[in-house]
Amino acid sequence: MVKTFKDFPGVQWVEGAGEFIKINDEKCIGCGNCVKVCLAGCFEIMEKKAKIKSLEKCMECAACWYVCQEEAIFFSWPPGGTGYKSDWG
Amino acid sequence: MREKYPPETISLADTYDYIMRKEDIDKIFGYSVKMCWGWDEQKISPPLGYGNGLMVWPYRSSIHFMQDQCLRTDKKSVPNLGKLFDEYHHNITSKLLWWKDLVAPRAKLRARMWEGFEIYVGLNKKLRKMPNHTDGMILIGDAAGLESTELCDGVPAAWYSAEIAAQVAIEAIKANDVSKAFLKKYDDKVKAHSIIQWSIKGRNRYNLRIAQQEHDIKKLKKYIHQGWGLGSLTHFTTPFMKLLLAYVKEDPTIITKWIKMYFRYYQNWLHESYDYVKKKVIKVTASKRVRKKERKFLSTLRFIDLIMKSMLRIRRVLKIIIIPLSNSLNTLMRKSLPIIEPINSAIIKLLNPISNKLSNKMIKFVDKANPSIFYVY
Repeated sequence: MVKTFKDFPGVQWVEGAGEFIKINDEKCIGCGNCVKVCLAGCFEIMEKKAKIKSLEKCMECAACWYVCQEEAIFFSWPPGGTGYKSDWG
Repeated sequence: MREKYPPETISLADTYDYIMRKEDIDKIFGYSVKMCWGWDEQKISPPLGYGNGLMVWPYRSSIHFMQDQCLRTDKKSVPNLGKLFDEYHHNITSKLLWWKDLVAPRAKLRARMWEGFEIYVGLNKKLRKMPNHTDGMILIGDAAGLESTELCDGVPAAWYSAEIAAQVAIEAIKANDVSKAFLKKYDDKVKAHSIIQWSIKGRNRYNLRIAQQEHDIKKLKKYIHQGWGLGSLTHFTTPFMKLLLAYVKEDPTIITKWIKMYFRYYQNWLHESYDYVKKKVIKVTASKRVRKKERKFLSTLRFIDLIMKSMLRIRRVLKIIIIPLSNSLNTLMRKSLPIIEPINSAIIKLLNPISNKLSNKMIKFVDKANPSIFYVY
């Protein structure tokens, strides 16, 4: 199924990407860096730990993975044909 | 294969795609270069840390507005990009008069996207030394940290490294050896490439950031002059000539091929040569005058080829004079720039009245000429 969102025009999200971003709770210190850099608002801090709210608007830029100093974020690109899709990039 | 790049070397590029009529794009962006500069407090360009930028790329019927910011700042803090990018975009589109008055009424937002790119990898010696190859794998372009820190441009180094990677890959397949030891050739060639090395080590963009932080107009002018003005000749001429000579040595007709490619690109931009409704090529009928100009154009190119080929025959000239001269061109430019600059200004002034006429003549010719004369075989 393909989804579109009003706040990000021209971009589609194809379902089936799976858990291509995961957070290791043991390593996470809840610094909130992932929340700050994510333009899609995929993360939130709950009980001093980062949690994934939703990956539906993720454009797979990997900024969260780069800024996680504790190496608590695992990132890998979703399988081909799933996830972020745009005709204009 | 290699370590993760640190966040201060990665910039997040927030891009807006606007639909715009080709005629409007030509009028606003086609014949001039606009450079805007803002102090931090104005918030009209991503202002945090030493990575920031704003660019507008014109396409055939759309423009891409891109603002970028490094993921970590000088103060080692991570900026709140989710909040700040919206603020910058709002400020730029509402405060910059040329955007507000010229672009905004003619542009309609079609898409918003973002991606990370590896901007400051080249400035770090340790990162620069990291291998870009392993068993059965070669990294090119941005992935290999070859983004230009001098001008913030990833395309040339991506093409150059792709060209080298293709050559090495062909050799590896022929030798039936894709081992790390064999593919080391790729990194050796990248390290020996004059333009790639010049562009990834250049500190121009970084220096501009410092001038912005310090509110130093003098420094700002100096770095803009060194990056985009005649000052660039003092550090760009040698690597450019070295690369040019390497290409000419391999193929003396390369210069006329580039001229043809440029004109063909320009022609593609000027008119639609393909009817998408009828699905066929639109034929252009040219007058006798245009045909005559076509012949003139082709004979000029043949003349250039002849000179280049004969120059190559005299290899000793190349070896004894031109190659050693190219090595000292930067120094020569540094010394002669005070003389070159006023001469350049005088020539521009002198040519100003006729340059528009000449440009218009050229545009007319390119528009009407038979596309096949620009083909490169």
